[in-house]
Amino acid sequence: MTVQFLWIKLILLFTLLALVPLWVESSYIRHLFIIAFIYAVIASNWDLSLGYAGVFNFGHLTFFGIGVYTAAIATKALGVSPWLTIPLSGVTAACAALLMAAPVARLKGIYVVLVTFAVSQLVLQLVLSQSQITGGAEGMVRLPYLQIGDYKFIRDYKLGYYYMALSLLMSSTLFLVWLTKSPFGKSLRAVRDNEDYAQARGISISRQRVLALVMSAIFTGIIGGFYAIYLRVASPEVFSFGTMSLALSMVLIGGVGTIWGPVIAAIALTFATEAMAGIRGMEEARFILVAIAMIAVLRLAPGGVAGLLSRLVPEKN
Amino acid sequence: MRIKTLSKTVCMAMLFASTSTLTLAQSLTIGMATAQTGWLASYDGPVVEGIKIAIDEINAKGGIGGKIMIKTIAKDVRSDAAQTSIAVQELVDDNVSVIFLPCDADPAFAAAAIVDDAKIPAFSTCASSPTLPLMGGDYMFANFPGDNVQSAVSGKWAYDQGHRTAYLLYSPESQYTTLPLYFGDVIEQLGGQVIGKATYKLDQQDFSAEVTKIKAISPQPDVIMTAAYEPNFPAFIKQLRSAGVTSQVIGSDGIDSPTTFSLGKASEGVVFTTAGHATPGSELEKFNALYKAKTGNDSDTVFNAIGYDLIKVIEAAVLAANSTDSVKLRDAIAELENVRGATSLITYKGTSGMPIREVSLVRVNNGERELVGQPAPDANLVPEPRLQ
Amino acid sequence: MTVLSWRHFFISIAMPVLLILCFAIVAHFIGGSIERSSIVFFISLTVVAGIGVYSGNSGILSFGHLSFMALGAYASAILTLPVQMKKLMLPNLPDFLGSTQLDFFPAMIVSTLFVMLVAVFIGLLISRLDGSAATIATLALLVIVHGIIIGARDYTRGSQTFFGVPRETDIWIAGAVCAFALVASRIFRDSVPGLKLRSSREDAISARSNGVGIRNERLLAWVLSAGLVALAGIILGHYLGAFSPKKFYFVDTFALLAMLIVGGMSTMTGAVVGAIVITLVTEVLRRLEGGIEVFGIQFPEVFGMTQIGIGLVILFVMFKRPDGLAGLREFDEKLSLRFLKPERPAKSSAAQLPVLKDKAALVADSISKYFVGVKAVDGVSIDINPGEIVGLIGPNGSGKTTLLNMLSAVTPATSGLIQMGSHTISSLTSDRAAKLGIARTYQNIRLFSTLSVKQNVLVAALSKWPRINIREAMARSDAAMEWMGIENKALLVAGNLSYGDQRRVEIARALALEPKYLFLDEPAAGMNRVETDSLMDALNEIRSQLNIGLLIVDHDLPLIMRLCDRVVVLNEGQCIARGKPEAIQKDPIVVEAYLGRNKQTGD
Repeated sequence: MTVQFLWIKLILLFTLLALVPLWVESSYIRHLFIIAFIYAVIASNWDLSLGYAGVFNFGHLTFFGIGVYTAAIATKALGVSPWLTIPLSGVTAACAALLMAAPVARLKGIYVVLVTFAVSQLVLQLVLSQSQITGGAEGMVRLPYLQIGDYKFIRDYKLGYYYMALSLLMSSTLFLVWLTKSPFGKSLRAVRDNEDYAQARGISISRQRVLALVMSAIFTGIIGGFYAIYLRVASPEVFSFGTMSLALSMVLIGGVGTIWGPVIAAIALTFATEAMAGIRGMEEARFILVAIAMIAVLRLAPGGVAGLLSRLVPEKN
Repeated sequence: MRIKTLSKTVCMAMLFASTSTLTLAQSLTIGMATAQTGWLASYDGPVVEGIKIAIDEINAKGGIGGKIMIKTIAKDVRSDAAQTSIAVQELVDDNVSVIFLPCDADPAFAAAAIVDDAKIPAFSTCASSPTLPLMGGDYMFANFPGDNVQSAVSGKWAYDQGHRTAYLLYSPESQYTTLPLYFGDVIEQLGGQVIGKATYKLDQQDFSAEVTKIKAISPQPDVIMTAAYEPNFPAFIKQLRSAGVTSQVIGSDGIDSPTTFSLGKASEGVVFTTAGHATPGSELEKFNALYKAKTGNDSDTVFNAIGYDLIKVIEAAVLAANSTDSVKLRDAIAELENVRGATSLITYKGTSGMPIREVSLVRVNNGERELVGQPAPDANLVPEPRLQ
Repeated sequence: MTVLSWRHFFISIAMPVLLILCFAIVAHFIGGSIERSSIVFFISLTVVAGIGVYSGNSGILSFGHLSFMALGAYASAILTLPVQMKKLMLPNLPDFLGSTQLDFFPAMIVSTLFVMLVAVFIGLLISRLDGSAATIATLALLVIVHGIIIGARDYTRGSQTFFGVPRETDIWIAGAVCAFALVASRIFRDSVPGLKLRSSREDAISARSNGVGIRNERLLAWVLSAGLVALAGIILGHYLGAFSPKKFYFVDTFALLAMLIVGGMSTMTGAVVGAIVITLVTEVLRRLEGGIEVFGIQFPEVFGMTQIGIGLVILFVMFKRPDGLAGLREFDEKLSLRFLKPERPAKSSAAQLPVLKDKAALVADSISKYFVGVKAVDGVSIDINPGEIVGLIGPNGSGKTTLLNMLSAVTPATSGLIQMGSHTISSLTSDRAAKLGIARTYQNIRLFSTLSVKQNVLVAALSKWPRINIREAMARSDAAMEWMGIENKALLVAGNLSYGDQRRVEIARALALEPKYLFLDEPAAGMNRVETDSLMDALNEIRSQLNIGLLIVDHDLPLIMRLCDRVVVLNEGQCIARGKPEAIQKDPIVVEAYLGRNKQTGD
């Protein structure tokens, strides 16, 4: 896809989203948008490691969870300002990614799935077991909220949080687009598509994979920190499979290997599942529908929604 | 010579026999498969405190009837049903005479087949689902007023206050949290109307969707009834009041905890049913004093007394059966009548294992407990137990 | 039924059955919690063996098998629950379920068949997906079934405990089911579909071009594995007496997959080893979790130590032995080299490679292949006749391999027609083309590297199964191996052979297909003069004695010129010259093409 086309799409999208609060005043709907933005960051960053670099990282949500708990522990136990903990969460998540580097770098295919899966289980168990620090199964509550001077961000129907979340999404997306269009991004695709060729060109496969993983962790951790501060709660639920499957479905349905596909899918699916929750009898069924949609995409439209849309607009190469 | 040896032998034999029966009858082992960690620990924990106080009190006097000491083996079920089965199986291996199960129907059901096979009477510390003893087999007992009975009491009270329309907030994920459905039956039987229902999930923190739905009803319901407990209830009530909904909120025993009284304006006026209230001169008042003496703290939840009562029930059964044999104990329990507990008189006779106990209605008034009443439930209003 | 000899087969099955029997007797004798742990062990092993039937043989990791376990458990529980209980617990059950109550064994059979039927439907959806897409689909399956169970409250009591299930499972039943699962998994692995599936695991592309359709084999493995896992779920439900959907979700999936991976996904031996290791680790850690004193050292209480321990074991095994502790071969296969001597076929064995009598030529008429923005092959016509050797040459990137891929139906042609007698090759998949008699080798040698030489060749010979039986296929593969002079290496693992030998195995494999045409993509690459000469002799014999038509792509011009009857030259996707070797050598257009393309690389 041409770069200019992508920029147009993104500018259009973000302008629209920035204007939303003009029409939407309901605290509840803005809350949905915020959650949608959070998922969008998670899904698009997962697309970096899964879609672009071809690393079957099943521990992506671990970065998110680590971000959440970093913010929670830093603000509650260490008294750090919430403003600082949000970027700090990105740092800790990136460190976690570095730790995962060794297995990810050297193993192939399904083994990476298992190892990253195992690591995510490990982290979950650590969180559950160290309940003095993490609150264990009950989690941590009453985390401090964001405010500048006297202005509490939750005022004006969460206006402050809305724009904070949107700007984080924008930064994350810009970062990802810049990264994928850079030589680094191109080398990632080379590694994914043709390992032998890439090696022949002198690209270190393991180094690329590790870098991709670490890059994908940064904003995921940051948005995790934001999530904790926004909801003022940290719970082991963030490591659950419900969250992971939902995020995975956003990546797949949006379109693996595009960046904007998962962003759109995240927003669409957040609202879709929430809307379905209102219908009697659909509380569980909506997740089933999402999983079915995931299989349908795998079978019928492997390029996801982004792939389908791209075909509508033929591009010259 | 022979007679001397014979009489000596007989004397020795009798001595042995008597000492052995003495040793056999010397102690009662209770197996406690309760939650020391996890979400159920906030209920099992206080109950176990009361249990310990009762056991210490009895053992200080030489045991039940002055001769049978109470021993316990405790295993942490981690608030998990599967873990409860495992813990109970281990306790059965340890040859206990009585088993205590966690404060929820689900893990108790998981262990039902095991206690039934082993023929050991089992009590849930404080689960209140009437279906538990009904369907859990002959060896399953409860230790709390039933959900259907509590609903009959709170429903009648609501109706008598003039409330006619009710909104139910329940969760189908556990037996206990479907209690509002019983409340709905009661209100409708009395002539009132259930104008709406909403479900929630047990791990839910955000009730904005439900609150929005309630706010949208015009006119607002007279009563909102829920069996939600921590952490759902505090989150819900805060969000409800912030949204400006002023309907009377009725809860149940799950919110009988210090948190409810510390929520400030949010929980002001909430009325809930519970197992007892310390009126002046009552047994519960005496227990609270005992608790303060033993622990140095005030008892801030009725679940302490519930634990105390459980041991009183066991004590009464052992005395009635004059044995620690588990089958005889079970039969004795099933015949108990008017055992004096700290919270109420307790009767198992004629029931399927759900005790007949008093229900108290309590209101949150300025962060303090205020007794609304201790009405006897009207048997005609109590809905049939059903698995829902 | 299987590709093993009877003696081999018997040992491979008798050992695990005997082991289980002894284990059960000892456990029963000890009784108590040891017996109970053994029942759980047998059930876990059944699940692991079941998953292995699919994942081990297909190479596709499945996260979703516990959904079959769940379906089996719930189905059997609903069928065996006493009617009175059903009225109280599941009042909204439809009549035909609510008023029936089956005995344990009938319920077990009905439930297993039910789950296998469900598996057929799901399998039809999933079997076309490859690799990671399939794995993700199985993940989605787990989420879906879990959601359905929770949602279908009237049948399952939703997320609450389903209790009152008759506790029929004792150690004998658990042991019997486990033994059955192990035997079944072993039989499948060495059955014809099992062997074919394993070849697709090793190299899907060359499996297809050797006649393996893959999809049916995957479906069969999927349904069988679902049945075994359902069986495990049934006896689990009747052991616990009470369960909830949580028991069949991710935490348990993780523990069971751990057993599968740690032991080794592709063998029954691996399943057993993995189950034993993880069970021991779990049992030990569970006892340590509460804090214990060992030799005066106080271990602190660590909640969740079991999960952490399992995670660490997985990580350790993944690093040291990624194929699992038991590796890729069954215990009996490791023994077989020592105890079971390879049967040497008599030189004058009845089965020889057949001489081709078919006269149909292979004709490609103006075929083209377009990739996005690139015309790899542009309007090339080529034909081959039985008993002739055609050479295909051209500079790098001229489209030779692409043309070869189209002729062997590995890549579909964008336009043009390829006919072989009455068959239109261009509309077929490569496995169908293989069955019709088109064989090929690959530039990068695509052998089934972890399989033995004999197994590699046998897969191709079995392409005509079940129209021929196993014995005939074996005879044919023996003949093919003899032809290429590798019969004394039959039991060696193909991936361990020298380059030259591997090439020979690949050709033997192609011959075992009984091809009418054989395409060779750079068969002499990396060979020295001696090897190249012997290859030439072999190819000449194939042409003259078997009357097979050969198409050879190579850069070794002397080889091409000496061997081929005709030569076709490609450049930039188009045919620029064709004719006898001597004429081609002197053709100025050809010379120009080779010199002019010197600076470019890449195909």
